[in-house]
Amino acid sequence: MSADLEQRIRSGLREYADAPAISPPSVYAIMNRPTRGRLAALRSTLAPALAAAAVLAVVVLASAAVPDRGTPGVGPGAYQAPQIPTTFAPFSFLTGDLAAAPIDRAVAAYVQRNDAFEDWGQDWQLVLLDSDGVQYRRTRVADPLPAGFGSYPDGTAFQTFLLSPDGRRVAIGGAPNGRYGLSVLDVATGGMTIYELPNAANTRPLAWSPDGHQLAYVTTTPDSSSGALTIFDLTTGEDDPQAGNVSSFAFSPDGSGEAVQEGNYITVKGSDPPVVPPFIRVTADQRIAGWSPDGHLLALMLSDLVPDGHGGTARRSRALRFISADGSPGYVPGDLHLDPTASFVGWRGDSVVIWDGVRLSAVPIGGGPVTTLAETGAGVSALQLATGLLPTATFVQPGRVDRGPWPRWARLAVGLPLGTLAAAALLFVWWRARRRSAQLST
Amino acid sequence: MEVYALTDVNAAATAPPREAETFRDLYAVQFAPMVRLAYVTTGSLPAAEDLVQDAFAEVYRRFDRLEAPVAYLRRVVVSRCISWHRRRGLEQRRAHAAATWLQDEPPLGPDATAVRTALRGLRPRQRSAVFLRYYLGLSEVDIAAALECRPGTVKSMLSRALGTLREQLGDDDER
Repeated sequence: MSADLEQRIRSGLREYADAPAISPPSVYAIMNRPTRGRLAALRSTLAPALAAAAVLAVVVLASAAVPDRGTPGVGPGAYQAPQIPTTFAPFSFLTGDLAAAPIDRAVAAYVQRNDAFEDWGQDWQLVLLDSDGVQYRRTRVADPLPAGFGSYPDGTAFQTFLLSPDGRRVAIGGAPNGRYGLSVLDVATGGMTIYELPNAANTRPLAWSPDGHQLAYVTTTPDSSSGALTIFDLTTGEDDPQAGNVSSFAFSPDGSGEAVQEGNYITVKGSDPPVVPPFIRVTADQRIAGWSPDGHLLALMLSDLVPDGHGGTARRSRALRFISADGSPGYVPGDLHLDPTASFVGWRGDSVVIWDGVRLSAVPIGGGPVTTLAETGAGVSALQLATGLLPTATFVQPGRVDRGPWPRWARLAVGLPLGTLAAAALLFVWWRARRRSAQLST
Repeated sequence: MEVYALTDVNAAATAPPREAETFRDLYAVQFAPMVRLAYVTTGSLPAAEDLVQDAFAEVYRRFDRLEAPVAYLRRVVVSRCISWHRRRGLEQRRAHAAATWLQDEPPLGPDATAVRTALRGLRPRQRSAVFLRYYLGLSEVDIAAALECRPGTVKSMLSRALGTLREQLGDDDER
């Protein structure tokens, strides 16, 4: 740049900048000036801090929004009439683990498949519904291994579960988590006790005693769902092995009697003296479904099986047949004809509760209109209700759904980005503070 | 009305730190040059006075902790001027600046008019850099401190600004 140009710039700039007359206000006015700078500085410092606090608050609220261990309302010992929603909650990946937030007692247990997003990894869950009708939990301890899938020749699944009448335990047969034996899940803690059996035997739970203290199960081989019966007392840990090749079993309502099916015979024990013929002949396609609460009737589920063309069998129809369990001359209703998909769930007054794969219905055994109790929705299978809670349960309109704390992967997926944002905001605040401090010292 | 005398401006601006032992000293010596810096940067005298008063108020709050109050003051003024520009949308800023210049334009000589016209085509930071270099006579290091950038950035910034000024002033020597 030429000296002349620089001189022209200097002089031109000076003339331009010096042109306005400047009158400084009193220095006292400056000293007492309410500075926008102070407010702006406060705002610029507080804004990221507030943002960070907001993010942290979201994280805290998100984790606090879901109940932690246990949920107030139904405490142990405090009885509350069990409730069942008339519409079950749909599948959700965010259903919390029972072990992370146990419930008090389960009124229902079922397998729920993810039909909407089948490609999204885990596509089914063993779900427990609390007796408050609100809390849903899944239990991972009962997740079957891929090798655990499969069924016996008669179509019975290798891995079965059985909800206790009081809803406080779930017995799981098969080999949950790859361990053979008898597994019992404690609903109130989410923990599972595995009673390992010799010879890596597979087990199939058949029935809980009404008080939930005893469990009848059979030891099976892959060739048959029938096997040697054992009555296991959970309170003492003692086994009562019994011979035979048992396929179905039921405790009497008072727990003193047993109905045992071996092949085409059902033996009713516990009546002394016996008031019924010791052996009731049935056909191979009949299984004990349950004992009526008054002890008078024994319900048998009849399945009309036909070849499915693939070497197996398929149900063409089902029916409930009632027989006198105690030999008393009381009323014995006729057969209840059901859909092929129907299954017996329990007793409710003078009705049996039937589940057809989509809805729960109360069918009066003496005839009468069928009442739909609840819609379980598609994707639900192997539904069981706590038979001891069913008679007094009320079916209520579904309200809020409490799925418990998010699974760990979901908390990480949400918490990591939010935490990173919060950390970045805090770092920014810290950096701003340091920078401001450095500016003051220069 | 008191008209501030612009004597010995450069000496005051380039004085070593803590020359201004009291805030009153700093205010007395630096108010006018800072207003002119803000005026050249923003193109608006009312805005410049307002911004500089804010800057002094901030310096006053921190004065006891400042080791180089003059350098800090320059940085605050430049920062506030640039923030002032940012706060306004481009159209609004142009309209405001144009109106202000039209209203406040004092009669200037040919070189001053050319400089003013050239400055209008520069970015606010470039205007500040030009003022700090050719009015206050600061070094590139001091300008960089005021603009919160590297000296190399100041160098290229001034180079581009000079190109514009050269065009306006009709200097063909180095084209």
